[in-house]
Amino acid sequence: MPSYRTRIATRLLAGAGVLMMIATAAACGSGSSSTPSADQTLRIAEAVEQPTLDPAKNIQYLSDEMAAIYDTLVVVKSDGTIGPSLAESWTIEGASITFKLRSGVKFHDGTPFDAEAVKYALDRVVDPATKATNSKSVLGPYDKSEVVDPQTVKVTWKSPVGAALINLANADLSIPSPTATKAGTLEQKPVGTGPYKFVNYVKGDRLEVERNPDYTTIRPDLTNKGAPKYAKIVFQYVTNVSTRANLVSTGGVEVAQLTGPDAKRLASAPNLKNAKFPGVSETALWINAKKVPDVNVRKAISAAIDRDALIQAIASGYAETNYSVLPTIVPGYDKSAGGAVAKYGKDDAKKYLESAGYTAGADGVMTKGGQPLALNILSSAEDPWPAIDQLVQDQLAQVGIKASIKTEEFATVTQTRRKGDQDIYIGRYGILDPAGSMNILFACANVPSATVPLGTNLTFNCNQGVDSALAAAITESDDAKRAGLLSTAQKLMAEDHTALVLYQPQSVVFSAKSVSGIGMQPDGILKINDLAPSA
Amino acid sequence: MSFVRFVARRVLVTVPAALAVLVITFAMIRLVPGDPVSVIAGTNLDPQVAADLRQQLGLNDPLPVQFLDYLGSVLRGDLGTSFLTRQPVTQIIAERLPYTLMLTAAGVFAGLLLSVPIGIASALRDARKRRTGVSFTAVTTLFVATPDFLLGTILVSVLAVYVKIFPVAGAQSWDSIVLPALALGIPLAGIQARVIRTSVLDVANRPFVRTLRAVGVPERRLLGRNVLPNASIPVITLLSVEFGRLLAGALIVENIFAWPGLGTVIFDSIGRRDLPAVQGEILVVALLILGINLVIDVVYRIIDPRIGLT
Repeated sequence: MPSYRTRIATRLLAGAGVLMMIATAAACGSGSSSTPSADQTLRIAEAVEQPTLDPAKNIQYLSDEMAAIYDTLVVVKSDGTIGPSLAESWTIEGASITFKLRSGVKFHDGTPFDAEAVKYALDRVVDPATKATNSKSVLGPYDKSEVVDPQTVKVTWKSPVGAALINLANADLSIPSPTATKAGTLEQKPVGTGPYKFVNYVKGDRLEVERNPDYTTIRPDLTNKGAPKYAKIVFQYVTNVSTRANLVSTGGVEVAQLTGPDAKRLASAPNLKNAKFPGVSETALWINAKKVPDVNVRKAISAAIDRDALIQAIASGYAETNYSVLPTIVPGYDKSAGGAVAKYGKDDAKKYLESAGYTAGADGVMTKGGQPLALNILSSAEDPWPAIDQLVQDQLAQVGIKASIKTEEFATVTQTRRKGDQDIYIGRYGILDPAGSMNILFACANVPSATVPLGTNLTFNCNQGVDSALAAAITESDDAKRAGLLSTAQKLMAEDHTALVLYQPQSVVFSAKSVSGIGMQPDGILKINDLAPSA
Repeated sequence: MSFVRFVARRVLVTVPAALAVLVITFAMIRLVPGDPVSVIAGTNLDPQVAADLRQQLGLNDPLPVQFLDYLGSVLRGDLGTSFLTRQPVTQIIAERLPYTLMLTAAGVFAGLLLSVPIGIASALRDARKRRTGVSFTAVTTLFVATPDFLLGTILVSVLAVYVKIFPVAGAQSWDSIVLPALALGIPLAGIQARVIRTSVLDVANRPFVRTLRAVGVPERRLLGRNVLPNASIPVITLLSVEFGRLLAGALIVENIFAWPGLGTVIFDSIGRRDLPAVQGEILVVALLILGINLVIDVVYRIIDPRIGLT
């Protein structure tokens, strides 16, 4: 009897084993059938899913899939100048721009692209019923659009907007099909003029697009001016960077953007290649000028920070130093403006503190009138911020500044930081149009207060010089004059030492060797139509 | 108490619980610090546009007004509109819930697939040797003690990255569900295997089994017809108790595997303070658990009429 029972036990265990083996074998079979390339489908892992596929209602900036489906009127080239896309040419008179549109372009649903479509798209952004946020902010003081003839549209702002063309190149101001928009189906089934047509969307998982065989473009920044080279693209949404790294290294996707340690880990993977592009966001340290009014103390903080060490430790080397508040590839960036920023040097830091009236105490902490120099740092609790906080804290300690750290969940810190109790806030900012974005970040009117509860100026500093330079730059249409004004604003910001760039992260695109044509627009969006299977 | 009265009373008891869930989800997401408009605005949005947005989203209304609006809409079956996607919350849930239920079911299946053979085999072995196997205790303890998020990461590293048998993440082919289901099922299997083992041993030692064996019923038939069916009742009880934990586990595991269920979206909704979405999603999960408990109580009453309401 007992032997019989044992046999049953053995069989049950063996049965479970066989089931597992069947599952494994079947999985192997399907795994090998999904090897990259040959089938002309490209899979791209995306870190962030678009909240909506309607560009006017979008609240996210970076977006490869929107650029696959939609086109914009103009594009920003890698040198920062404007190139044609849906608009062939344009003339600027005061607060108006008259666009000559390409003819023969059709939306994916067959609707012809014309002046009416442009007027409809822009009018819709400012229509309160649309409840637009980002697109409205980008469009600025828009007044009206007039259809001159089917291929000519005159767009007028209430006051001249220097960065009007840069703004119209923003994916949020893509031109959707008026037919689909009026039908109210744009969010479920987006229709644009772009290189790929919408096929299917599984929320939280993937968005599938297929080749638009009729696509042609005059975009000077693209190599491929004809129909796309892939039959299909699948954008797969994967928030976790390590999961994206695993996907691209195992062939689960062909393209993925990675950062930090995961990028470093795969940098020498034999089956992958990678390309680095300058970023348009800055990892920065804001000094609250209301709490730290002495510019010498702010200079000391700047001189205490070893930016190269941060780049190696936090960004695994995938970042550049930048001393201007503007990203290096934004039009109007002035490298010389960063000259005024106090560079790394512990002795310099101590000298600045001494000129601010501080003396080193017995424990090495700088004191003034018996009060030690103690600062509090605020940041989000998500990666990589706590690690940056700790490095900065350590570097400040080395010059005699005692710093404490407070981290909060992102949704909380976006509110707390406006209260201004922090001496230092560490975080990230992005720049779209240089004058407009700098104005939001640094203008007097945007210092958070009881009357401006949603203020965005975390320097809590009001520099009239910066204000007037930016105000002039916003309305200045002449590129050279605008660059001059932006240069002034950057120099004044550098002298203030209220917003210190720690580093400018690079976008690192990892891809399978089977993919060629990896390129990136200055706004961080992949040049989708240039992607092609390698021969 | 008649059966109908029992069911009616049981349903009535669920109503205040559901209402409490409604109040708690509404209050909780507002009590934690953090502001939806600040999150949406980031560092790039014009403060004026942000202020308009606050007005549009109805966040300037007093809290009691917001709550009554919410309550009224819920009673009409409207869970509001997501701040982020401008999509009805009911639609978001309809898109995501099937994936979560699919994963939970697959987790239960994986748990049973592992625990039933292990549990029975161990019980039979112990009956023979008259002591508990050390390896059984070690394996089940390891199963139970490994948190699903850690297990998920280990499974990915070994079975997806190192040996490349299963996909790393996503939901694009049938085998995508295997790893998340194992991450959920293995801890469950640890508990279940123990319950099955104890239960089988218990039933196998009852007098009726001895009698049947004595009259010459073949051992295999005895196990299949008499021991296992009687031993399965505690396993089903355990499953019903574990369902809530399993659902919660699914929400976590989804994030590791980028599985497009409710978990990934709840995580995002909370992080961005998308109030209507958080409220609606948590409400549905809570109602689901209340509903399952209701069904189980009713089923028990059918099986054992002595069960009543205290």
